[in-house]
Amino acid sequence: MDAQKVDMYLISNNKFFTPYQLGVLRDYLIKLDDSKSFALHSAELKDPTMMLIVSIIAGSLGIDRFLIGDTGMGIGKLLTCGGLGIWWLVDLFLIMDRTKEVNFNRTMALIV
Amino acid sequence: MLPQPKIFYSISGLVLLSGWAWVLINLSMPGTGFTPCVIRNVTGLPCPSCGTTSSIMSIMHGNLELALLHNPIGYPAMAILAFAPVWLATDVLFKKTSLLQCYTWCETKLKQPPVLAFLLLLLGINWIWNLIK
Repeated sequence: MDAQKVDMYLISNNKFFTPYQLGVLRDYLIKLDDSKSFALHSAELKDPTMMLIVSIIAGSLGIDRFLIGDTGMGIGKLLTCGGLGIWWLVDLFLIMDRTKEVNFNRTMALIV
Repeated sequence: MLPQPKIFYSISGLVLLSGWAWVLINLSMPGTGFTPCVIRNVTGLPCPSCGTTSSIMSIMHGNLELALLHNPIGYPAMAILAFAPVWLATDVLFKKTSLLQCYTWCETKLKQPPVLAFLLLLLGINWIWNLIK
């Protein structure tokens, strides 16, 4: 892909990834064939800030974990009143990084 | 994506340990009226799993009918609390990953929309019952 296109993509999507992941993605996207760029744009990325809001409001029902695809953990939170409130609290600090990790894995799965 | 075995076993161990600690606290100090449920504390309404502790207490005292009335989730929760620590300890001792494989299998099944929908429907019905009783 064109370096300018890659940079545009990374600038417009930087909130979905950590700075380290952006660096790794850039290396891969530069080498990416143009025919795969459509798949890249079709990747369903979750907004970490939105996930944090969901986690605050409905985290003890595990909805935050369901939304990012961690179904097992979602059920676990749902069945334990958000891990007796502790898991809910801990997830407030973890959910944004986990969302970025899921976004990165989804994007990598499409381009590698 | 598979979770790392070390992380999975650490988190499961911590969750089970907290679960047993909570059960033992409730056994030694019954009827304090304290609930750690965020939803109940904020809205005053019970969440789908509210009543699980009381249900487990009832099972431990041999009152299975009362356990059902408190919350049916108490039965699987009690089963997990009873068997999962043994399973986890066996895996750690013999350096196996059968619990992780079981978790991964269950999660794969749960990701199938019909299975997840059925489970959420059951939990929804249980929540409605929890709200009206």
